[in-house]
Amino acid sequence: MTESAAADFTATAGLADDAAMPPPPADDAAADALADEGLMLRYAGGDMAAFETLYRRHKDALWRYFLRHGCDEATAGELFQDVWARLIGARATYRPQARFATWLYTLAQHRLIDHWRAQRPHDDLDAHEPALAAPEQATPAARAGQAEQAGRLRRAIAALPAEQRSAFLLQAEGGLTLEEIARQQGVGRETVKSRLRYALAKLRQELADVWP
Amino acid sequence: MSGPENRRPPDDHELDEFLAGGGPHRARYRAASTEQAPAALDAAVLAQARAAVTPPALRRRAARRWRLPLSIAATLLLSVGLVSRVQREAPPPAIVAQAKSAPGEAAGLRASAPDTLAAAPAPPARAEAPRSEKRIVVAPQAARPREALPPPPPPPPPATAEAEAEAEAQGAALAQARAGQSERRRAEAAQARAAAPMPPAAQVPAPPSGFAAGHYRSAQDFELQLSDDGRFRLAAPPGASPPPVLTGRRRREGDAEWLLPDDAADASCRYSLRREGDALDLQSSCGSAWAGRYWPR
Repeated sequence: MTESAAADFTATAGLADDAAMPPPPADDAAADALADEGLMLRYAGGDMAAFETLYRRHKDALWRYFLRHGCDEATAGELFQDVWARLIGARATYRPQARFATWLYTLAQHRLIDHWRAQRPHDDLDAHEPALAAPEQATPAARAGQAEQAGRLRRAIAALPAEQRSAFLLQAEGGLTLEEIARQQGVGRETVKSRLRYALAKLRQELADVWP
Repeated sequence: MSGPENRRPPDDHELDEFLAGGGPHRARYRAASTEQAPAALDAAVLAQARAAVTPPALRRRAARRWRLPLSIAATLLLSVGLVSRVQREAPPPAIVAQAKSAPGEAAGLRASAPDTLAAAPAPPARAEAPRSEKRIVVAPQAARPREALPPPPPPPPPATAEAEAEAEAQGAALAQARAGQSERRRAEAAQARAAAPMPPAAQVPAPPSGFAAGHYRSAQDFELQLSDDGRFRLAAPPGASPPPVLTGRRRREGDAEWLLPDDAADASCRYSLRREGDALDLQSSCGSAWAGRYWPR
């Protein structure tokens, strides 16, 4: 995905009118109360505090989004920085025509696809699951108790087909709606619902012994 | 993966719960998702974001912050420099010698004035305080060789309207001669710098002022040499903090003398000499270490 593609993203889902032109925040608390889109506009105008609030809201979810897609920490860190760099670079042309989260995860998804294609250019994207399923924290201590259950969940997610996994993570981490996910994946809303249904069913089956 | 419930097909109820932000899957996922972006990544991204927006703003702010103080400082600096230069370079319309003593003495003083005196810079304003109301206005003679000096005029009468008119006439003549004075001053300064070491007293023709030429010494062992050719030399003992040597020209002004350093760096500092009994009292306008009392050696 190119810089211009990042800047030209113009989905038009569910924006409140006041998010487009928010009142200037008087302090950090006021900045926290602003919608993501307002914060991004304020950052485009030079307000670094607005960016810090925005970043704080989304950084961990985006980080997990890459990890859940099977990236090791080094790769996740590289992709993570790339996404934020593209976002920073596109600040001047940013127009809040879609939810900020939709834009952010669109950047992330495209960067992830670029990464996969660079790694194995002739593979189908769905062929990533086995390699991506390898757990990173497979230490003996991590296998115990809740840590083990969390590890199993992460492995189960990584084992999902890429499109199901992506739909699941876009909803669970990014909070995207069915329509937003459908737009990003280029499919219909019902297709997304179907992918999510299957993803949830597989997770339930994989973890039935610990989460009955 | 055991039991019939876990093998049941996907259903909308499970999906609706998940989309609504609830359900067991979301709760379990939240519990298992505790990873946070590394602090190093946070720092890198925030630094990049800050760099993208901060530098131009900082530059503008810094420029605004320093514009006014810099303007004031530059104005003050130029003003002080200009005033100092005007004070140093404004030529005296005439050399005013104090005539409170006998007329003959005044005439002698005039006759003994060195060539450089006429072209020397005007003394500072504060040096004019001790002047007597009786003044002798002397036209500049700088361009003339000493041998061509006219005989001294008769002793000045007490200040009268006639004398004042004569003074005005001489002042007009002086104004005509001012045009060439700048050139002469520059030549003199170069000559004075070249002559920094004191020439032998035997080569100088006449003393310029009332203070006798000779060697004087302060309590700090600073040496002051006054020469008859209108120059002075201050020398510090080895290891002293001021510059080891300060040279320049002497200028008579009433009861006092002004010592005008050759070095442009010291030109802003004024030195004056006054007689205190047998000693000479050297004062400076800049708190110089040269200041103090000097006794004949």
